[in-house]
Amino acid sequence: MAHRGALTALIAGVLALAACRPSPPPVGQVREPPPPRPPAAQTRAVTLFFLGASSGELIPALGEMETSPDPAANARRVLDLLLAGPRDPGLVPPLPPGTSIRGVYPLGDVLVADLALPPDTPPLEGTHNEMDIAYAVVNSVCLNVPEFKGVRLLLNGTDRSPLVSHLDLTRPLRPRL
Amino acid sequence: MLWMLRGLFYLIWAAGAMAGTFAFENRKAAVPTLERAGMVYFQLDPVLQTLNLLREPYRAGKGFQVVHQDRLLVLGEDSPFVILDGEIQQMEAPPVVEGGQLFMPAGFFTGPLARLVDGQIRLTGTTLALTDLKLAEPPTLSAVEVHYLGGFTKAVLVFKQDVAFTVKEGSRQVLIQFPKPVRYAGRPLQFDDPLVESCLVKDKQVLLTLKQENTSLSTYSLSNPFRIVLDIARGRTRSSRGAESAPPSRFLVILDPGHGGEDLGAKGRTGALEKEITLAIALRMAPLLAKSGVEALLTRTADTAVGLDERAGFANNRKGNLFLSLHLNAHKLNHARGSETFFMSLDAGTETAPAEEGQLLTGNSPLEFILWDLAQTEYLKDSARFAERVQEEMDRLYGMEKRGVKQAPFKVLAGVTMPAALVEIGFLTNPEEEKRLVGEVFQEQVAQALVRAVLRFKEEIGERWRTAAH
Repeated sequence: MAHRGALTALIAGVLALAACRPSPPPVGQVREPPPPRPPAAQTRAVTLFFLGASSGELIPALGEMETSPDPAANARRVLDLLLAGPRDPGLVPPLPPGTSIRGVYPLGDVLVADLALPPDTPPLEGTHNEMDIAYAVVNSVCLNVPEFKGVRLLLNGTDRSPLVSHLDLTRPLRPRL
Repeated sequence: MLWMLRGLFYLIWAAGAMAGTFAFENRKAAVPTLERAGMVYFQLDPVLQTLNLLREPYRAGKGFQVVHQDRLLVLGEDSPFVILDGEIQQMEAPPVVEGGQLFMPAGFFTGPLARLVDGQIRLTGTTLALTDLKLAEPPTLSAVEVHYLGGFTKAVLVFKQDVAFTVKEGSRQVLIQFPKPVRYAGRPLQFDDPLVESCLVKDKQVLLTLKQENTSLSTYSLSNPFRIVLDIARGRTRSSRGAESAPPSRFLVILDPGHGGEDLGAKGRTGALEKEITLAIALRMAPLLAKSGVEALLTRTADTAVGLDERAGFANNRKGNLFLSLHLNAHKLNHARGSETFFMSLDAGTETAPAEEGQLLTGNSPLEFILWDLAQTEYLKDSARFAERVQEEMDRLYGMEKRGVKQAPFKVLAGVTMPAALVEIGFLTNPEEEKRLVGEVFQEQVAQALVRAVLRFKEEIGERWRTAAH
């Protein structure tokens, strides 16, 4: 009985080793499977709002961005594109040069967008300038990321920025399209 | 091996964890806390459980919500902001998720959560103590009675306790507002009454819908039990409906020259300042209005800094009939030109009236529509009318680019309780317009145009008052 047990174990061991050895590929088949490709990033067209150099009004321009399942990440990408400025020379960026993003925070259907204006930015003069900046952000975000119905805009972390003297930023702004 | 790694992770986590306490009435609950970057964070759920509150997924989007007596607090895992009853509030830091649990910075408890439960939460070390909780029950509406008494209807709202309230009238609505949400177990009511159609209770409002326009309303309260009594009769014999009330014995216009003091406003290339030109035009308008029998007061008469709240307060305290804020525009493109006139938008995105009833602007419920309508009928229609008159006169004056009448959520317009408009007279950044704007002749022409707009508006309103009085 002991011999039979030892024989069974030996056979099992040999079979196991054989299973571990690489077997030659069958004729006509590729030996190595192709390495897995990283999933192609999903991109889509987006509409951004810049100032028309001749009209001085906010007008839509097309761009393209990678999309994410996370609406806040998409909103941030939209803002990155907006801050990068227009490609079309007939358009002008509405935000002061050097503006950056301090953070974006989704809160329900409102995006809190906290922008950092350069430290030497003078107070924004005139309602037109204020509205151009605010609605370039609000329109671009809400049109491209429909999860957000409005944007609460903070400048340098506050909704009572001394740079803005006309618009009420203490409430979310809805798009003006 | 795995258990060793788990143990190591736990030790690392525990190194930053502390035992905290949440004290409420005679109860004390242990609350895990964390310290990060010198700040104390408390685990949210044990505190909520002690208060019989629940954190649940936010119904309208990403994040969580906590509901207390119809008040809504929304928070996110990675956001330093929370929304309490529609107001966004900032915390000192975003929450921390540790071991699958949500930890909120101490300021969340002493700030938004304390306001949610209408109490005070104080922080001492790692102890949060809830005090001064308003334990009184929310206003409880026990019955709504409507009786037609021949010629008028008496509607009575019966409460279990005394409540503060205000009453607003719309064309076919009466809105009774309370500082807190009203508890009412009944359903919306329909009445078989000649004057009152229905009653709807929602949140902090009770809305009576009437069967006809042109009614008069008399409101008073009675005690034991507390009752709000509304006597509604046919015909508008008295009213408190803003510009539609009885013709005022005087017509007072509040002129608001924009900016002032250190706040220069827009600047022209040659150094012209918005604050100086707006003041000069307002000072020219006042005597012109006086000649036409219209009293005018200025929110500033010199080069002084006046806050936006002060300007609105000035107008409201003096019970102005009309408010006009004077400004000059600026643009990064110096060829931008022309004048434009704004009136207030309740919703920042609201540019036009809804196409049809039920198509909402500010929310998604009929009540919100009616509220919007109430406010709209109270001041916005007159503000829009006044803004149109201003723009018409400015267009006639300029005879060139017409930028039109627009709506915008401007701070100074939001604060005044009267028909109001803000005019951007021209672009100071446009060299051609700057040249005109600094000239006394042009300033006089602008003043005359704006006075014509005021007088036209006053005449139109007066016509309505006379019609209503007969």
